[in-house]
Amino acid sequence: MPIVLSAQKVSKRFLRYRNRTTTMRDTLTRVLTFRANPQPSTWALHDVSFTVEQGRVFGIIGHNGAGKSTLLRLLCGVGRPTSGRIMREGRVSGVLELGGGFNLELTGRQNLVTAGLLSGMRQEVVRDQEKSIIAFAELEHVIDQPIRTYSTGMYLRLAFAAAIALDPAVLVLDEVLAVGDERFQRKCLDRIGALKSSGSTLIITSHNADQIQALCDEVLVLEEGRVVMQGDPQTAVSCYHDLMRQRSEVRSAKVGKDEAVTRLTFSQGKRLGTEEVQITNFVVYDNHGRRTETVASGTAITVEVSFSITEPVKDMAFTLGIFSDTHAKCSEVTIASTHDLFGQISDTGTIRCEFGPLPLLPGTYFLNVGFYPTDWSRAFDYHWQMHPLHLTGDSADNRGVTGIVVLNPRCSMKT
Amino acid sequence: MSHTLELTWHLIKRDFQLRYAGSTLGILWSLAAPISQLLILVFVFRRVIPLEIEHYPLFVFTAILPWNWFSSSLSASAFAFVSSRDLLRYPNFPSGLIIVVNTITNMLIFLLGLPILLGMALSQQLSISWLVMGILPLLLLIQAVLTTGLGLLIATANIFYRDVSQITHIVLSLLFFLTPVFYQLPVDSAYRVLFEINPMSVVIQSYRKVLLDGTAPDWLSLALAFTTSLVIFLFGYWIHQRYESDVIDAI
Repeated sequence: MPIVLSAQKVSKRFLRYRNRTTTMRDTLTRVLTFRANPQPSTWALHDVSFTVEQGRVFGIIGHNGAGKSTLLRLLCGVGRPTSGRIMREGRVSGVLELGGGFNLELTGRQNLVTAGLLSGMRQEVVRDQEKSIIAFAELEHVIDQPIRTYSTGMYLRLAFAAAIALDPAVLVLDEVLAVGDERFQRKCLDRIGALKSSGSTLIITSHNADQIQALCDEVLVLEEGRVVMQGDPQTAVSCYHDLMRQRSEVRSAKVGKDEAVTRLTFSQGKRLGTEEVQITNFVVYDNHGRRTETVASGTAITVEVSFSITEPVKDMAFTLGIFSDTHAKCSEVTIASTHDLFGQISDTGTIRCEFGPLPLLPGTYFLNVGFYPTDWSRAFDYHWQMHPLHLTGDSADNRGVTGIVVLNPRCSMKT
Repeated sequence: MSHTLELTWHLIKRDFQLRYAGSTLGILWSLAAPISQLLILVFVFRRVIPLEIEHYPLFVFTAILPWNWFSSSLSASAFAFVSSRDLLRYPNFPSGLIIVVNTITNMLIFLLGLPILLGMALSQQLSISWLVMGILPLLLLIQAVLTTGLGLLIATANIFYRDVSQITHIVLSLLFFLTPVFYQLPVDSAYRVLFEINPMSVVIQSYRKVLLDGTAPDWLSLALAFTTSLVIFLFGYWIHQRYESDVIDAI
C-alpha cells in the first residue's frame, strides 16, 4: 500500500510563553546588556519518525504530555516542526482538541460553514453537506444556538460529523472516541469502519488502551516526546502499560529516597544516587561467554558490573537482583561490605557474579544493580530497570504454567 | 483563487456576526460611535472654543470616518489572533487573513458612514465632483495597505510582548491629536513636516480635498504617504511571515 503520511526526524520545540509572558523589559535588558538570548524552551518531540500506509488505522499512545497532541497538530499542518519533515498525500483533516476549531459565540450552523470553507470546500458544497452533517450529529434542535450552550458531547458530535463529512484522505482523531455516549461512539466506530474500507487512513489517539488495541492495525508508543516503538497493537499496548508502571514506580522511588537522602544529586529516569561510586559498565554473558540480553530459560548467565570511585569511599555495599516485569523480586544478592568480602577496594573494579541455570519462566526480567554506603543511608548509584534480560523458551514446555519460577511439577491423576 | 475570496467574504460576515450578534440595533451600532464623536466635537469647537472653519460638521465627519477605520482596526488587531484561536486550529490556515479581514470589516463600516456624509454635503448645497470621486478608491487602497501593515505588526508583536496593546492604545490616542481630525492645518507651520510624514494625516487631508473641496489632492504628499504605507506593509508582512509558526504555537 502506498504511504500517505510520513514523519522524518520530526522535532518540535516550544518557547515557554505560557508560563511567563515575556515583556519588553526582558528583551530590552537582554539587548542592552549584550546577553545571549536565553529563550527558555521545552522539546515536545524529539526525532520522531514513522510512516503510515494507506487504509491503516494508526494509533498513538502515551501518557499525558508525551507529545501526542503536538504530533497530531503537526501532522494536520497546524504549526511547523522545528526540524524534520512531514509528508502528506492528500487532504488531512481532524478533530484535534476540545475547544479548538469552533467559535463558542457563533451558532453550530455558522461554525459548520466556517469549518467547511477552511477545509477547502466550496460554498455550495458546504450548503449541500450541511444537512447530512447535522443529521449525523443529531443536533437539528440546537444547530442555530450558539456553541457555548452545547454540552461536551454535543460539541464533539458536531466536530466529528464535520470532520468525516469532508471525506479526507487521512482523518485524525485526538481523544475523540473517549467522549460521547455509548450509542454515538458505536455510530462513530461504524463510520470509521466504513471510512477504512473505502480506503481512508485513520490516526487515533486515546487514553483507552483497550480501544486502541481493538481498533488499530499499528500503534506508535510515545514517551517524553520520543518514539519508544512502532508495532502491532498488542505489543505496543503492553509496552505502554510497562512505561506507565515504571513512571509511577520511579516517582514513588524518588519521593522515598528524597526523604531518606539529603545528598541526592541526580535522579535521571531510572538511575538514582549520589555518585560517589558510579556504575560504569554492566554486561551479561550467556553460558557460552557471549555478551547478550537474551538467553534461553534454564541456562546460566554471568553478570559483570564495573564501577569507578570518584570520591574517597572506604567500603560499600552492593546488590544485584533479578526482578520480573511486574516488579516481583525473583532473587537478589546482597554484599553488605565489599571490604569484608574482597578486601581493600581500588578506584575502579569489576564485580563478577556467576549464576547457575536460571529456573525462570520465559519472559522479560530486569537486572537491578546498586552500590550503597554500608549504613544503607542512601544510594551511590542504583540502576533501576535499566538492564533487561529476556528469557526465551519453548512455550510448549511450559504450557499451562504461569508465574515466575519453573518448578516442573509432574501431575498425575488417580482414580 | 475564488475559494479564497469566498473564504474571505465568509470571514468578514462572521466578523460582523460576532460583533453584533444579539444586539437590537445590530450593524447600526457601528455608526453610533462616529455620530456621537461628531456631535461632541461640533459642540466643543462651535460653541465652547469656536474654530473659524466653514461647514464644520462636514469638515469633522470627513475625518472621523477614516480615523475610526484606522484606529478601531489597530486596537482590534492587538488581540486579533487570540480572539481567532478557533480559526488558527485549522490546517494551513493563513493567519494573516485575520488581519486583512479586520481591515476590510472596518473599511465596510467606514463605507457605511459615507452615505450620511454625502447626505450632509448635499444638504449644505455642496456639489460632489464625480470625477474627483474616482480618486476615492485610491485613498481607500492607501489606507487599507497602511492599516493592514500596522495591523500585522501589532498583532504579531502582541503575541510575544503583551505591552504592545497598551502602547498601541496610547499612541493611537496621541495620534488623534497629531492628525488634523478636528482642526485645520495652518498653511505655513514650522511643524508641517510632522504632518507630512504621518500618512494618516495626508490621507485625511486628501479625503477632505476630494469630498469637500472637490479638488485633486496634493499628489506629491500622497505619493509619499503611499510609499510609507507600502514600506510599513512590507515590514509587517515580513515580520508576520517570520514568526507565523511561533504565533500558532503560542496561541
